[in-house]
Amino acid sequence: MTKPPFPFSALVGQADMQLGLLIAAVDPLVGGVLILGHRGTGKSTAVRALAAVLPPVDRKPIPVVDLPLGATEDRILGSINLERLLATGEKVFEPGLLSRAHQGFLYVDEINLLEDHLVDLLIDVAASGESRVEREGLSVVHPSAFVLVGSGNPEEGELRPQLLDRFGLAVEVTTPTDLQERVEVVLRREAYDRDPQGFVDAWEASQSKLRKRIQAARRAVTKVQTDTGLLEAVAQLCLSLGTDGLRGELALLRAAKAYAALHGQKRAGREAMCAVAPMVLRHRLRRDPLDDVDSGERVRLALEQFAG
Amino acid sequence: MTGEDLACLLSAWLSPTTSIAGLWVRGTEGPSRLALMEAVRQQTAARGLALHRLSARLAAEALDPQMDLSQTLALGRIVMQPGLLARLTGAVLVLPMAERQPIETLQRLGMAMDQGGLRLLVLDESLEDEPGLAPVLADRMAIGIDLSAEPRFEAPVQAAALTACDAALQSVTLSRELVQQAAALCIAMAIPSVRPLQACIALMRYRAAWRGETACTTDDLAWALAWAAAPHARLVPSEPAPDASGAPEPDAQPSPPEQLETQDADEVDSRQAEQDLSEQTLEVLAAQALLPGHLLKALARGPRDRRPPARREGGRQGQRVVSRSGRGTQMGLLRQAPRDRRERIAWLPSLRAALPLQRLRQADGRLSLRLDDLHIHRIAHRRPVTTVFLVDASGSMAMNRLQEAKGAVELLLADCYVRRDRVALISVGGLGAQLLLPPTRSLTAAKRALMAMPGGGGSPLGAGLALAHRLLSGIIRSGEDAVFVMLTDGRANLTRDGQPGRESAQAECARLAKPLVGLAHRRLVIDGSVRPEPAAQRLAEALQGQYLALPYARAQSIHAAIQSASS
Repeated sequence: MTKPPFPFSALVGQADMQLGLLIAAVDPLVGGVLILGHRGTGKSTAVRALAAVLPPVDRKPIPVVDLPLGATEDRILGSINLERLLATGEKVFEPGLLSRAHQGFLYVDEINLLEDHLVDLLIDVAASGESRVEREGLSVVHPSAFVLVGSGNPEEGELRPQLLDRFGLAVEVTTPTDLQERVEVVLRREAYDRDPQGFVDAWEASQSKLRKRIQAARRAVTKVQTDTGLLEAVAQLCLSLGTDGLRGELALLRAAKAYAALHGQKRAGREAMCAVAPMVLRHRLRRDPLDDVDSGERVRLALEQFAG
Repeated sequence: MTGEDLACLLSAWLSPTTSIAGLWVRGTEGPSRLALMEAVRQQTAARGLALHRLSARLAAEALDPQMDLSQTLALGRIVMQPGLLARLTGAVLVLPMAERQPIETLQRLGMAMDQGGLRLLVLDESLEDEPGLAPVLADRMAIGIDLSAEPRFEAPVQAAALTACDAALQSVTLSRELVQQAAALCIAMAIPSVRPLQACIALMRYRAAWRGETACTTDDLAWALAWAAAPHARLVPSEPAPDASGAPEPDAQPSPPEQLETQDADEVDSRQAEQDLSEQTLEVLAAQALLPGHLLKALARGPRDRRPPARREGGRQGQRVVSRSGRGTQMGLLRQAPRDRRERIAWLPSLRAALPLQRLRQADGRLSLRLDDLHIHRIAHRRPVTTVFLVDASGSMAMNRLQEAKGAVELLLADCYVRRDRVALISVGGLGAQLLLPPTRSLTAAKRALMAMPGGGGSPLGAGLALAHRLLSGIIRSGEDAVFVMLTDGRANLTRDGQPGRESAQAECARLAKPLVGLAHRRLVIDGSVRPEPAAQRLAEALQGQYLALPYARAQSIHAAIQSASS
């Protein structure tokens, strides 16, 4: 009983999350996307929907692999293929979840509740782009470069800073307080639940439009130029916010270019930078625990000062 | 709750034509639950579905495919065993003691529900002051039945009637106005998730089909809300703000509007938010006028529905410390040889790792097990709790109730000693805050510090809160839980940097109190002034904690309140 995934173009609201996921789809090197917010706000739906709209690479569909909280190390990293070993005596490595996500997405729902020893594995693989297993006199290295997408409700537990750092973008999802928006969300969902295939068919036109847009942006992103002065602007912004190291600057530039490509612009300028700055920098600020101003808000304030 | 209500809910849940997948039954075993289960058995049988009760402590690994050890050993070749989820495809699953199940299991079941096809009945036996079913699964529960509603099983439902109803569902229409009203009410109940609203819509349509109608009415809306939304409500609409403490508060009138002008940043914010919502208020009011009494009763039932958000959404509750040794429940595995005698070997997974390699190792009939195969258990412990007291020993307090407060703290110390929990003591007075007692289990040290506590001087409460924040952060980082108890009249008059001024000091307190919400899993403000003090109440609100007025509380009753807050 598998239903076709909900169409990405039929998602309502959560513009920040949609933009973040699209940027990661256009340029996977931006790094992963962390989605923070209450449950039941359509996080999982959006991630699954994204995979369905992405144009295939080398005629293969983009994999979206789920990492459940209860996965064992063997399942994550892979183990020896039992059948082959018994049948032929060959030692063949059976790739785990991480290698299956290669060139695709690895989705961890409730990532803030993931056990520490699994977080360690994720951090290591996300940094090196390969999963490595040394066991039974077998040393296997599998390419495993994926876009890590994590979601969770920060009220239920914080994320380890090392893992937080692995995410290129952090977006916040909020409960739609706008009545009409909420009504639209449930009406579409209801129509989809009643007749999934019919609903997906009805949205096919806008899906293929979006697919073409992503495809075009993917081709264009490497050619996007940066406006003169953008580099300084980026550096100044990061300096004024006191982000650590150069990672913030690099990520900001990359995301701004992806944003420009997604919007059909040939040059990434201030507009692109301002649009992506909150999601790039939100989680990179040093947090003053006694200051309850939302980090995204701080970035926006800095941007305003900057403009004015 | 009539037998008809129950039959309709169960049918909506079991019907293949709805997206309703989760049924959440809260309450302990008893006649009501037996009746409900009887009705479930009857309807699943009528629909030709299998009913399977899962184990009370279900390991997440069991849900997915695994090697079958005995078959593999007997046949000498690998025999895989499909996971529980695959084996029970199509069956209706019953998850007993859901509040005690490990989070990994709950999340895996939630994933299976999202993929479609899994109908799950969750039995949640948690008591009022327990964390309850983890939000990861609770949020996916489309229907919630509290057993205090006394469900009854009256008459068996004919299979033909069920299929007829399923078929009729296709032609039921639902007006946009009703959806709008349902959405407005979900906002009024402060339900952030969209899932309960979706469940309402689905349930509304099914009820109309059940009644043989082709259009939903407001009655269907009210009915659906009671079962789909009310179990997730955090606020009761059209009632005054819930009294979080349950303690008598005769003077606790909501502050008159003029007082809101005190330029407290947060209050200004909240007023802004109120204005933003005002367009929607009309709709909410219109929808509320439709609500029949039984819905409000359903909403008022069960204090858990009225808990403030931070606690309801989990806070830090239910977290565990996991290590490799000691006592506690087994939780997951680590592929590693044991490093000392306290680490326990998990034999079955170790054998599973070794079996496929037997031929390769040329063990000639004997089992060859290597260090590399070994798995050890990971053990979850109860988190130790540290209670942090912040005692306001300023002049205004010392005049009033400091002695009684000390008495209460002393009673609590004895308690903590019995539970092997720790206490810490911060005093505020004079010009600053002081850590009188770092976290300790020593009864005598605590008593001595308490008795020697100086009194008098100003109220630099902000300094005390900042110190409490540092202390609590350290406690949380070291993997413990914390309870925060504040004994004060809330009348701060010195800011952290020593500037006098009541308004600025109190505004600072409200700001500094907020981050403590995420640290201490229970928070309590004991008002030590002669009559209930609005400043102390505001502080309790900022902490999203319990408020207790001391004039009505002697040492013994403070002790009782803290005890219930920390148990």
